[in-house]
Amino acid sequence: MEIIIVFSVDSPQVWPEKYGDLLYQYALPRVTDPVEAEDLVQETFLAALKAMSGFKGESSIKNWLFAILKNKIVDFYRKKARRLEDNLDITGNEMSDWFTEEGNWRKDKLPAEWESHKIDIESRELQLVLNDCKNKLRNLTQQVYVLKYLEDVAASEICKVLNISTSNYWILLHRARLQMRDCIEINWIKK
Amino acid sequence: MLHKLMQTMMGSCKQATYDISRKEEGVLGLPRQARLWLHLRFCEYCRKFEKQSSAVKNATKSITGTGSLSSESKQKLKDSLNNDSQ
Repeated sequence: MEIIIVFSVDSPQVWPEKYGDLLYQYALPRVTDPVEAEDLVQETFLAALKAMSGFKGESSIKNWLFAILKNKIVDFYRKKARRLEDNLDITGNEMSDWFTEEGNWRKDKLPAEWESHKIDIESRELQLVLNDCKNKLRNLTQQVYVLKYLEDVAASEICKVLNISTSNYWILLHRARLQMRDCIEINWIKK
Repeated sequence: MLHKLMQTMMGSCKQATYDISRKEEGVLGLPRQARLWLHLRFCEYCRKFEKQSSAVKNATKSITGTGSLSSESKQKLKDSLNNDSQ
């Protein structure tokens, strides 16, 4: 007689094959380093395994794993921020790269005309350029940009996670957006 | 004199580009909103910044990583799941 056991959810042993790459590809642009991304995937699986009994099946296993991974990503930044505490790269004249003393655009930094079809989010090449531009942002500037625009974390939460003041958050976001726009203009629009 | 007054009412490009993110997140007070609105009406460069920077921001959301886990990595993951469940 054949006994068929039907699991309502996947057994954890199939997770790496089934979800490993998806989770890894999500984590990579958010933490930049492939080794760190792989570690986060492993931590996610282990945390999920421990919490299996709490999984009620209200969401799919996939969504559940992603929710755990998102928490792990924020934790990753929290730990990183502790190490960066005295490395806050904000200076008084941090905006002189873009603006004159009066606060006007510098002549060499005036935003150019973009043909709107050039920003096609389906384009794989554009994604690679965006990723490179994001990687060029320094320390906290990059972290604020990733947490806000890739992870969609609320401003107040980002300040707590990175241990920065609200005003520093806005300064860092301002700088990140100026740099990203400029980087895309140079490396994509004008290429 | 008039120039000075306009400057005060419209704010600088540095202030305008800073306020754009605050407006998007809904934390820009009314007087600053009015100042930004006026600034954007007159300043084509900040208008471009607003549009382009938000396009870049939206495109950033869709970045996914390239590559995948190696088969050794996957095996390692499977092993760690086995060990942990015992």
